[in-house]
Amino acid sequence: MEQPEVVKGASLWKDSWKRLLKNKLAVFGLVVVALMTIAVIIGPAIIKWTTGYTYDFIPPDGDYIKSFPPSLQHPMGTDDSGRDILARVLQGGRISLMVGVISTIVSLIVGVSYGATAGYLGGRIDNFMMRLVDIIYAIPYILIVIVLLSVFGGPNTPQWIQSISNSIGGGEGLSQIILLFFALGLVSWLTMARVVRGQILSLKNQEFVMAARATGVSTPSIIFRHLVPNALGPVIVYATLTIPSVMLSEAFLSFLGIGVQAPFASWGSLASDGIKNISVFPWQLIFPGATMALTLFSLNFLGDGLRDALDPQTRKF
Amino acid sequence: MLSYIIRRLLIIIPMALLVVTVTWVLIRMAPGNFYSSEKKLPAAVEANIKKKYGLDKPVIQQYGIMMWNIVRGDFGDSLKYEGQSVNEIIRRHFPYSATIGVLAYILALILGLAAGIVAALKQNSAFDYGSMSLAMLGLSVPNFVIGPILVLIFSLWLYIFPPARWGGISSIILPVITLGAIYAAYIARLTRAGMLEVMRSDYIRTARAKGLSEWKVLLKHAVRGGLIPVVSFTGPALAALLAGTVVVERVFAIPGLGNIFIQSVLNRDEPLILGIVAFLSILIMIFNLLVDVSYAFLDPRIRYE
Repeated sequence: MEQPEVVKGASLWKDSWKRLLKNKLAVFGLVVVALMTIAVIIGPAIIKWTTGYTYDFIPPDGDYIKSFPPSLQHPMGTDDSGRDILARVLQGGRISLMVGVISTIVSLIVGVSYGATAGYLGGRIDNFMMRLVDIIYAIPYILIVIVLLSVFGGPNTPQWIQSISNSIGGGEGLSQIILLFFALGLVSWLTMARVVRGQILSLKNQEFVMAARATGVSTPSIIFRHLVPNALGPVIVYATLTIPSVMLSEAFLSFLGIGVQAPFASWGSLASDGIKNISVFPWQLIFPGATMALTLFSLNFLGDGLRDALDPQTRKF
Repeated sequence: MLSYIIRRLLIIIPMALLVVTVTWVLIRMAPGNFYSSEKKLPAAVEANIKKKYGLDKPVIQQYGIMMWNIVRGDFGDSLKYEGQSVNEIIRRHFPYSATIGVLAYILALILGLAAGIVAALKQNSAFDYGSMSLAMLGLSVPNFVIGPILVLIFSLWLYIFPPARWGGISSIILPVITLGAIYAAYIARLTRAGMLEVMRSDYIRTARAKGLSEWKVLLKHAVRGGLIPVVSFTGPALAALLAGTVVVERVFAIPGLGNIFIQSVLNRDEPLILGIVAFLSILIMIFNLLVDVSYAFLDPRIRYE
């Protein structure tokens, strides 16, 4: 997708930003998400520096019970193998937040191009494209994710995914997780396509589009340079709400054992590991679960606030 | 109206067949087989297996045979649960998922509607903020976290409900609450937004101007219009119910269809996957039709030709 030109009338964005800052819950969400992002980026290094623990450090002593409750040394306790849960939650947060961002970007690219194309071309092509969306809707997304993972997983991993994985210092394991990000993005674009199509349908008969066509602008250029930038508001709003939903999907897949595999961790995989021991070691579930819930809670409030701020018509609520 | 319903019903069949086709293509795209495992089978054994399941025929012919059987309503036998037909498995396991799903939905409707309506009428009150924050929390805590925490509190500490297994009312309560929480949260938010919009519309002003009591305005006019977003949520919600029940079925050890579906996908049990996907897609489409039809009853301004 091409970068849209600078949107005219920047006062709209300024206005929206002002409205967003007035919304206390949205500001709360923004602050928590920002703090969580910083914690996840620098946290693991700080923990390693102060206490020496990393997400995959297993203490060598042969204690029978290795899962200790929260203490000063381990603020969130340790897991079955004796690994520090705080270090794992911070490391897992990297993957969980990356799922949210990367999968949403993938779903944004696919959904916006698909919806805009269908909406602008209209007629039979639109009808066919939207029926295809209906059909994919009816197929449980888990099936699609599993097929994508098994078609493109293991030895069949595309070269470019492996090179991304190598460039950020991970090996085979990390490339499978990056594959998961893309697979989740490829099942989350359906609603985005519908939202964008609706927007384009209402925009495409306006004069500026006719003017563009009259001056001989090509169809792809009309779609991506003239129509898409005008539909950006609802797209941003929907994208913010897609982030928590793909994070939940990743957690769900990890719960089923299809998602993130050890020694890597995500909030979802940590929580699902914790479920097995809930009666004996409840901290194994509670800390990752609460961290994830707090983040999703904030993202949802932020998304809601953005919707109210970017769409003044709903401001009355 | 009637011709609209008939047309929509007739479209369901080709759509379901298309869904089955796309699913079949997806399954066939993935490498490996239902019989493949760590150990490589001897060539003769593999040939026999292929022959038994008709996998030695050309792909197009396999597709044709499968579709012909499916059109006649026969999905064949499961590959993993040998000797059991797909129809039988669905008939046996669906009631569990349906019971929990329907009860959870009723619970969610009662809680969500009540909270949403009151929050809208008392906008910006403490109740409004409290219930909406609670709803947001319901949307943010994954249900595989809610479930075990409920088990921890009510089964392991307070000994009120059994932690798992199916049997009697007491064993249903925790799964229903776990599953219903997220739907209640959605419905409360949708109801509140819908009611706020409707309460400002012209026909409510007209109703008030006619001198109707506030209760009559609310129950006879506002609720009907305000419910439309809630009703549109019902269709997709049913689709999500499958994914939702899987977690609840896993956490509470309930022998429902969601778990069977995940197993069938992991086992690459082709007939069972296709059967469940076809069954669910028909169910979803019928629900979507019911949703569209109910719009006309809720809002007299909506008409279908």
